[in-house]
Amino acid sequence: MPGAMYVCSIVLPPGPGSHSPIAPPNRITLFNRKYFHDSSNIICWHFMIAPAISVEHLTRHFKVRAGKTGQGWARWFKKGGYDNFTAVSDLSFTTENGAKVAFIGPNGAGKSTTLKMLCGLLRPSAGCAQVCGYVPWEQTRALASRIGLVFGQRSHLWQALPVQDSFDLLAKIYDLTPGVYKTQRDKLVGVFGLAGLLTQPARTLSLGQRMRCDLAAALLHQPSVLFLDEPTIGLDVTAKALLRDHLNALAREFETTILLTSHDTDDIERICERVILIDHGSKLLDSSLAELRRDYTRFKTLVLATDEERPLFQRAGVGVIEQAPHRLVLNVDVSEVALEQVVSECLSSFKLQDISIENMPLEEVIKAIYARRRSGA
Amino acid sequence: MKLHHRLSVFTASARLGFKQVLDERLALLGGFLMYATLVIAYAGVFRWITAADLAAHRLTFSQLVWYLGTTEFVLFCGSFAYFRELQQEIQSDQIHLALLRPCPVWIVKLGEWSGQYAGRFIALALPCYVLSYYAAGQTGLGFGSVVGIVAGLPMAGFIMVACAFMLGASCLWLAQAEPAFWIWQKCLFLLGALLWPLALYPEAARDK
Repeated sequence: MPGAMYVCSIVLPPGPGSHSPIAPPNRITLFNRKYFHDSSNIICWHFMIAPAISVEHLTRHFKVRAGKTGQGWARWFKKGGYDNFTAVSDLSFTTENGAKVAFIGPNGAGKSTTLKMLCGLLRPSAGCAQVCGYVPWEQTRALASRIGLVFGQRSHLWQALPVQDSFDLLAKIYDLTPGVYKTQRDKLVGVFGLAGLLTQPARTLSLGQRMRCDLAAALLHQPSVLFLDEPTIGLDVTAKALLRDHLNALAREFETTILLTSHDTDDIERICERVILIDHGSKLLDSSLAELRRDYTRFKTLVLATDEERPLFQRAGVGVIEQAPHRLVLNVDVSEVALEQVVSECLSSFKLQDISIENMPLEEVIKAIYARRRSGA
Repeated sequence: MKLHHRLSVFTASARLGFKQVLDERLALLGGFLMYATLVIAYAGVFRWITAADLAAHRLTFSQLVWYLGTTEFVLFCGSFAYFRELQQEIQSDQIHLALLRPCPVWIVKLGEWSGQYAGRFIALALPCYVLSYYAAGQTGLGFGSVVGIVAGLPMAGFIMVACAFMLGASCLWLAQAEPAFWIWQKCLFLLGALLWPLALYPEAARDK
């Protein structure tokens, strides 16, 4: 069984006038929910604590049709073979309960394939994984009640129906009792500011409003783990900021584990604490965001606005990030060259309108990691 | 998953489908106008058949109109768009969200579509009956037949939406569901909701 796991018991006094067990905190992932009343009517919880997500040597190959060779009619009669394509290769990581993890990589890196395996949509070719203590591809239905999904370009809502109706139906699907459903819905309506949207058909909502409703729909059943795939795609700056704030509020309020995939580094910076970087299906880096920043603080970004239309600058330890008319953005490795020296050379080389020094943006940090790994390979 | 949970999801989906249809009044009106055009046009065509020809097959003009009216009513209460809806969800991966819920997709879909069928059935039954009566000139059917038809219509509707689900799901294997739909549609025409009763088919075709 992958990941660290502990067997625990909690002894609780009985609830007032009730024989039902008291609900355990959401941070604790239970997969062996056993309780009993002992002779003094005390409720004992026996459970095991597992990491929210635990992945070991996960690998997934796909068979893809190989292109036929030959020309003209000969192509028609040739039998095409198959090639093996490895989407995810020997991927291992563990995510603790309540963690907020960014799972990032370029297009085709294997993010979606990994996410599909962790949800139970795909069976891996090798390796094992557990989400909330369940093996996703074997216990998909059981796991479904413990996870929430938000895909930026897909919706939980029935487009022709008012949002409230979609919520009602989802409550039935997740078999929520009316009391639990009402409490959770009211809480989510408060957190996401949905009071005015509930009676509107989903198709009449703006993208930002729809995303907030979708997020609420994904959380109605109080999932322990939330998978977010490009949740801010297509949103404007204000809506993105609002959604990120809501996600942070949600993580605080419900202690939900978040696994986020996004190409927007602002999403990662504002929501996540940890970054897992993958490329060609393999893990390149697994580190906290703070560590990542610390490792790359030796890089500074120098933004110059010049009188010269085409400013050019070349020097060891200095890379060009962007070159545009009257604008030059440089990446300075301060371990190789002093920042003051570069600034003074710039002052003598160009007529400057403006100059600013920034830490390396996360996007550039990620690019630098990829570049370093590729050159290393 | 317990049976009563499945049933409660089915009825909740059906309720939503029902509500959705009743909210779309213009679509209902459009459906009725289309139905009316079809029944009136074919009633006009049936008038060209001489009473003697019909009598040879132990049929009357009103029976033909009622046959057409009833079978078309089933088609108009359902929708050919269902299979495309499912196909589109599968092809766009929207189905992934539905697959990752504790309740199977088919229960929700069949519930929703059955609710829509029931909604159109209730909304259109009276106007379609009046129109068919007007076109046929009389009821043309005995009490036993009417009871049989009324009892059979919900089942016909359920079979129709179940077929639509299977047609939509066929795109998982066939990439496109349209070819399967065309075959189903032709079979429906020949074997199910016949525009011409078998009695009026040429002798050779009828005997086969």
